[in-house]
Parts: sequence; structure tokens; C-alpha cells
Amino acid sequence: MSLWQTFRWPLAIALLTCVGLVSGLVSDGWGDALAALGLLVPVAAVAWFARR
Amino acid sequence: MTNKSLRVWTWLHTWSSLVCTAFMLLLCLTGLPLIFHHEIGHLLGTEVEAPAMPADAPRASFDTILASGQARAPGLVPTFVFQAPDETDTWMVGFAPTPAAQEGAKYVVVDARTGLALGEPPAEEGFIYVMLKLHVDLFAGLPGKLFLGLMGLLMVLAIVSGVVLYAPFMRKLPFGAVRRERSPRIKWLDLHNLLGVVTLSWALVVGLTGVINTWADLVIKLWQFDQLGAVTAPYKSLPPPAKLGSLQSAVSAAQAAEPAMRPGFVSFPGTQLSSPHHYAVFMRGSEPFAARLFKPVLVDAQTSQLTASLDLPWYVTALLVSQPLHFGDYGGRPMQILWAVLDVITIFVLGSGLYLWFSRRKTRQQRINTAWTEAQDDGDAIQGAAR
Repeated sequence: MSLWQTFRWPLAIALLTCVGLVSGLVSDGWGDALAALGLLVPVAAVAWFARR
Repeated sequence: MTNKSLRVWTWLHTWSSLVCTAFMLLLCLTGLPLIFHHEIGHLLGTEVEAPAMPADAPRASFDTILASGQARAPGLVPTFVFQAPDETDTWMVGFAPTPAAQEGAKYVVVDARTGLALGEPPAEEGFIYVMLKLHVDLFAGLPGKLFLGLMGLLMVLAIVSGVVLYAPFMRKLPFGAVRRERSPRIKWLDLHNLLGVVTLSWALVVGLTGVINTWADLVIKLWQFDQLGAVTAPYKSLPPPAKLGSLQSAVSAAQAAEPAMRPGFVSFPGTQLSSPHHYAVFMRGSEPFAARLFKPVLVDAQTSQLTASLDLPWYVTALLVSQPLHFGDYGGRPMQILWAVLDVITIFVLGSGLYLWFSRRKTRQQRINTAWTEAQDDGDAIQGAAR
């Protein structure tokens, strides 16, 4: 596998987590919702792959 | 990646993690109850709450709030008045034996509407206090903080080296693969890689902001010498005021200077965040992000005249921004729960890393033992043949 293929999913999860971390800081309401969604991504990934 | 660089990165990852693992486990375990410190305070009955009143109820004067607090803290001097960003109904008033004292603090929570003292949360005792002190400085003050900061930097190094090693280890595997059919060591290695890589950015952000927080005392000292020192230089040769002026007048002067903001924190003269001659009124904005930042307004403690309204330097702003990103206290209950889950996953990553190191040592030791036994058997056979 190429470096891109190895890192594309970890990179996507890392970016979504960062979006969540920042959005909660800059806005209440939709920001908090986006923060929860962003932080849910790594948790959901762990749950999905660990149970498979 | 060449064999040599793989060995170097593996050595870096192994030893940077091993050195900091015990402390990171301690930080993760003590951080868990701190995420829910309000809820635990409710359960333990130490959380002070204001009674329900109409939202437009008039606000009490700061002089009344201070007097109510002082009545519960005889013989002590006021050091600060504080209101959390999401709080509007109460003020916490801090007291200490002297303005610069580091110990012997007492806190009184006062109703912002009626000006009545509501209670005294425990200052230097209780479960949450012990967790907080272990988490912040291991009960060792500034050296403890700096030591934990160093451990945090090692954790960051462990994360970066872990990312570098992820590629050669996962080159032939699809993302998220956990080889359950292989040996327990391989299964735990896959789980370690999976959990580590998906929590990568959260762990990096919490780790780095934690490191920045360990430098808080130094950052504040730098601010005192830098910006605060320059603004209060004309007062340097004057004796400290014998009697302080009205707190309400000082807050009103700050409010007049920054009408779009509201007071969030007042530091009294002689304390770490002010000069001996000033009330430092820290104003905060109303937007979620601006509410986390402060704009210090210095008011002469005797005359209640405005001395200066300051823009905080970048290093204090970085400290203030790093705090919510480390505490995870800005997104309501869902974020609290997710923060706790990510904390538990990090404990799992640390634990599995430790298991992998022990199991590798065990395997290596077994290999040495087998080789030794075989060598001995060969030696016996040679001796037997010679006889």
C-alpha cells in the first residue's frame, strides 16, 4: 500500500476530530453539535473496528 | 524506511512512551473525575447553587458581594472575585491570609442577585482537590508542574514516533485490521495501532495544551514583568494604598472603558495578576470564543480612575485558548462524555503499549533460554561423545 492509502483514513478521522474540537470553541448551538459529531468519529471508529 | 531508521524510530517510540507511561496513566485516571467535577460536587454535596429567580432580577453591587464574602472570612484579605463563563447567578470570592499567599485560601460563593453568601466550597480538601493536585502538580508546586510538562512532551514524541511507525507496520494491512486469529501479541499490537491512530489528533491536542498549561505560572510571571510591569511603572516608587477604594467603582470604571464586555474576574491589589496599586478587572466578550479570553482593565485602587485597558500578549492568549481545549468543558454534556470515552481509550493505548513491551521482553527472554538450553544440550552431547 502507498503512504496515502495507509494514512487516508487516519488523516480523515484526525481532521474531523480537529473540526469538532474547534467548532465547539467558536460557537454554541450548532458549534456544540458539530463538536460532538467530530469527537464521535474516533469513538465510533474504535467501536466499529474493535467489534468487527 | 531503512532498517536503521526503523530501529531508531522504534527505540524513540519505546523509550519515550515507557518513561512517561506511569505519569500519563496517572494523568488519565485523575483527569477522568475532573471532567465531571461539577456532577461529583453535586453528589458529594459540595457544589453551591443559586436559588431560581427571574432572569431579569437586578444585580447586587460588587461592594455588597465582597462584604458578604468577607463576613464569612474574618481575618483574611480578598484576593479575587470570579465568575465562570457559563455562570451568571453567582460570584466566587477568594480570600487568603495575605494577597500573595499560596496557601490558606478560602472561597465563598455569593448570590449575584441578592448579594447573600450561599456557601463555602471546600478549598484545600476533598476528593476533587486531591485529584486536581495530583493532575496539576503531584503536590509538588512549580517543579511538579514542570515535570509533568516534560512528561507531556515525551508523550507528544511517543505519538509522533508512533505515527511514523504506523506506516511500516500497517503497509500490508487494511485500515482497522485486528488479526484476532494470530497470537495475542499480534492482536494487541493491531488494537494498539488502531486505538492510537484514531485518537491521534485528540491526544495530541490534549497533550500539547496540557504541556502549555504546566507553564501557566511562568507565563503569568512573564506577563507581570512584561506588559503589567510597563503599564504600572509610574506607580513603582509609591507606597501601597493603606485603604482600598470601592470594588463596585473599579468594576464600573472598567465597564465604562469596555462597554461591549462584561466582568469575568477581578484580581485584587498585590495579588499575582495585579499590581499593588490596582484592581485588575478582567473583561470577557459575550461570544463563545471571546468569553474564554480576557481583556485586563487596570483601575487605580484608591481613586477608581482608569489606568489602562490592555490587549493580552499572544503568550497569555495561547494559555487561555489551551485551557478549554485541555479541559473539554465547552461543548456541554455530550462533549464531557466523549472526552471521558477518549480518555479511557488513551488509558487502553497506554496499557496495551506496556503489555506489548513486556510480552516482547518475555519472548526475547524465552528465546535466550531456549538457545542456552540447546547450547547446553549440544555441550553435553559433545562431552558424551568425547567420553
